[in-house]
Parts: sequence; C-alpha cells; structure tokens
Amino acid sequence: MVVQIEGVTKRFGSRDVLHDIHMHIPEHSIFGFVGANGAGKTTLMKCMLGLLPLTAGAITIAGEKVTFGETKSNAHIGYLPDVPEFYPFYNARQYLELCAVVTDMPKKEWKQRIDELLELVGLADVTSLIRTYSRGMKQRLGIAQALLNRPKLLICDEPTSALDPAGRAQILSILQKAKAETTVFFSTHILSDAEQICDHVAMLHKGEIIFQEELTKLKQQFHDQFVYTFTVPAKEAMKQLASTQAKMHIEDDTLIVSLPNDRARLVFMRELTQRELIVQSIHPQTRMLEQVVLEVLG
Amino acid sequence: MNSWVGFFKKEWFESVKTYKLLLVLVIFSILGVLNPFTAKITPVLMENFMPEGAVLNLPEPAALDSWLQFYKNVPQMGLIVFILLFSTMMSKELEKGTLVILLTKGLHRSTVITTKFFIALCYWTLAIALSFSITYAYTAYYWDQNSLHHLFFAVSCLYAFGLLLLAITLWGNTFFATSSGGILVTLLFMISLFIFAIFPKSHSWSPLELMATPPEILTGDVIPSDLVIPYVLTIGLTLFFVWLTTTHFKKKLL
Repeated sequence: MVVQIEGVTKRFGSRDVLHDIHMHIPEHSIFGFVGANGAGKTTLMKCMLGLLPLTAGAITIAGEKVTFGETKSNAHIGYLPDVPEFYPFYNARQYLELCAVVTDMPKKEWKQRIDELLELVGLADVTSLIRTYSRGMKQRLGIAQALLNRPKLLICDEPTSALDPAGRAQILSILQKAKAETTVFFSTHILSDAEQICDHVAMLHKGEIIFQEELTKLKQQFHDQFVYTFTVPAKEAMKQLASTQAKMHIEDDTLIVSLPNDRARLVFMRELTQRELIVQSIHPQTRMLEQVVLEVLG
Repeated sequence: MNSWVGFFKKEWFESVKTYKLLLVLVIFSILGVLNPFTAKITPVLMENFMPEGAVLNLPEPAALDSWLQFYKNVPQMGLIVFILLFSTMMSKELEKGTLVILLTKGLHRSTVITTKFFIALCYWTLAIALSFSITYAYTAYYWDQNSLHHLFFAVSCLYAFGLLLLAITLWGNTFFATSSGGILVTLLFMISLFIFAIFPKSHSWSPLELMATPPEILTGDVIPSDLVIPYVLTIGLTLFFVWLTTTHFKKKLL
C-alpha cells in the first residue's frame, strides 16, 4: 500500500471536518475520492501533504509518516491543487526548471524529463507565458510539475471540475497514462469521471467515508441492470409492468430494470410486447456510482 | 544549483519582470541628482521669490547642504517608496497560493523567507549605493567634501535602519498575509520609535538615532562610537525579525 490513512480526524474549532477516516491506497492504481463540495476532500489531501496538522490519527505515504510542516513524505508525492497557481512571468519550461531545482533533480536529467512531460501534457509546442494560459492548459502544466520527480503518489484535487468536456477528457487520459509510473489519487464530485478511469473509489460525506470499493466489484453488482425509455412516460410503463417478476424503479424518467440472466431478459421482452409498450432506447446501467450514492444517502 | 539559489533566481526574475528594478533605478537615481541640485538651486529660487526690494543674505551653499538634502530625501521619500514596493513580498504569494506547489515539492519554508529578505537587501543596497554615488559625484563636482566627517559611516546608519524596516515589513506581511499588514506593522513600529524619542534617555539606544543623526555625524557633532548601541540593536533586531518570520511561517497553515 502506498498510502495508509488510519483513524484520521481533523477538527477546525469545534467542528469535525474529517472523522475517523481509514483508507488504504494500493500501488499503481487510480483511486477516486468522490464527495460533494465541502465534504472535506481538500482537507484530507492537505493533511496528506503536511499542510494541515491532524487532530488525531496517522497518515503514512510510501512508508514515511506524514508530519505537519516540512514533511519528508512529500519527496514521494506530486501534488496538483484544485486551482493551480503558477508564476505568470514564466513559460511552462521555465516553471518546470524551477520545480526541478526545488526537487534537487540532477541537472543532466532536466531536459529529457521536461521534454517528456511537456509532450505528455500537450504543451511541448507552447512557448507563451503562463499568464496567457487557459484553465485547461494550467491543469495540464499542473500535472506535468506534479509528475516531474517521478513521485510514487500523484494527488490531484478536482482536476477536471472547472473544465469543458474536451479539457476533462484530456486530463482523464493523462491521468490514465500516468498510472504506468505512479499511483493516482484524485478527488472529484463528477461521478462519471471517477467511473471512467478509477480502479478504486471512496466516497466522503460530511467528513466520513461512507463507501469504499473496487470498481470491478461495483460493476459486477450492477451488471444486470438495464435502462429503458419508452414512447410513454416511465411512470406509466412501470404501472403497466407492475405484475411482472422483474425488479424495477424509476430514475430521471427512465425505467431501471434488474434482469439477472438471458431468460429473464427474454421474458421481460415478451411482457413488453404483450403490453404493447414501444421501447425507445435500452442500454446497460453505467451510472453505478450515482446509484450507490443514492442508495447510501437514502 | 541548490534550491536556495534557484528560488533566489526566481525572486530576481520576478522583480525584473514586475518593474521593481526599473523603479528602484529610476527613483534612486532621481533622488541622487535631486540632492545637490536642490542645495544649489534653493538660494537662487528663494531670491527670485522674495518681494521686490527685499534683501536676503543667504550663505553660499556647501557640500553639507547637499548631504542634508540626501538625509532628508532618501529616508522620507526613498525609504517609504521602497517599503511600499517590497510590502507584498509574502502576502502576494500567500493570497494567490503560488507557494503551495513548491513547498510540497520540498522547498524549505526558511528558504522562502531568507531569499525574499535577501533580494530586498540586495535592492536596498543597490538603491543606497546608487543614490549615494550620484550625490557624492555631483556634490564633488560643485564643492569640496573634505570638511565632512564619516561620510560612509553616516550612510551605513541609514542603510542599517532601512534593513530593520524591511525585516519588520516582511514579518508583518507574513503574519497577517495581507498587503496592508506589513505596512501597518512598520508604521506602528515607527510611531512607537517616535514616542520613545520624546524621552531623552532613548537617544542612547533607539534605532531611530541611525536615521536622525547622520547630519550630525557629517558635522562631527556625533562620532561613530556614540552610536554603537543603536547600531548593534538595529542589526540584532533585524536578525531577530527575520528569524521570527521564518519561525512563524513554518507554523503557518496553507
């Protein structure tokens, strides 16, 4: 395990922002940390970076205990804040050179590593100053600086939240590539992003972990669910199908039906034909996390 | 290159890109020229502004008048502008969050404070050296300066006092993390020095003496040994405030 979080509590005044958090992150995985805005995700990340002191518990990263202030464990971490701020008077290469100096990287390695990373994040041909960068370009530069010293853990705080769909896709693809050389721990409140690239997911709600699971296991749990839309409203369709054996519920004017095997699927199709319900679309359930979240939160 | 040198280079680059170098060069060059120029032109101006028929017997200006202008203009205008220029060294970084990435990469917090103080020190050295050299050369062109005492020691007093104010500004700026924090703390420090100055006993130790007595050093009324305590105290306080800023920044939540 590259990260071990044991019983972490963080209190601001009399308010518990994090309460008894336990989390283990395996190496070379993408660990999604989901939760609504204000759930405490950034606070936990700052605790992992030694930027905030813990009220209780302990965090170990790559075998090194995290301490508040100048923690040695940061040598194993690359960090991308939610809104990365850079010196606007530098260009991407100059900024990465400054980062290379700060991380004590041998000078002979700079050029090759910086070239590699600029290529990875698609900024190799950009020579303009950072002050002219878009939000997406800043996020990509943020990932490049975070990966510079080949960290064992890459922590990204909401890397896709403020980006357009194209920017989000680019960042997710970069994070997926980064998995080859590091472990990615990223927070998001966009559940579909986590579903798209994560191996593991944990959910933080009001300072507590309410759910932690491998995504493959989650997929198994949901592999028998199908989403139907009809030419009639889902409510009416469900009313007509009330006498069938299949488990179903309504979500956003779609009918979610549990059909565990081929036979059940055939029977259900027959029922639809008999009741003259015309199917507009049908696809397997993909919004697993959303389902889990709704279930957990009631 | 180690991280201290690397971060210092960033501070230097930033100061050039944000026109600090240009401003310091221009302002302190103007002040340097202004001192002898004002000394030379004041009697002429006064004669011109006198009512017709009135007679004014002003002594011929001398080198001392030029240096009196120096010790009026540089602390009153130059030092204030200088403090304002460097009053947001930390707060700007703390407000924007530009330090977070570098600190999580292993940059020592003490490196941040010491490089920022050192760059300010370099600029103050440049400012004083520039203004002093121009005033010296221009004054030497018009007058003989041999009658003046301890010219270099006098300017070193102003230099040391400036460093103390810079250290206090840096501490205030880091402690309050706002652009006005540093200025406010420095202002309060100056006010308290002026209040102390009401009591004659404070003249034997107060750092304010380093700013107030250079004209008397030049005339020989005050000798360097009279200022040992204020001088040592000023340097000690400067080091103390740099240490205090580092200690405080190490505990700061980011």
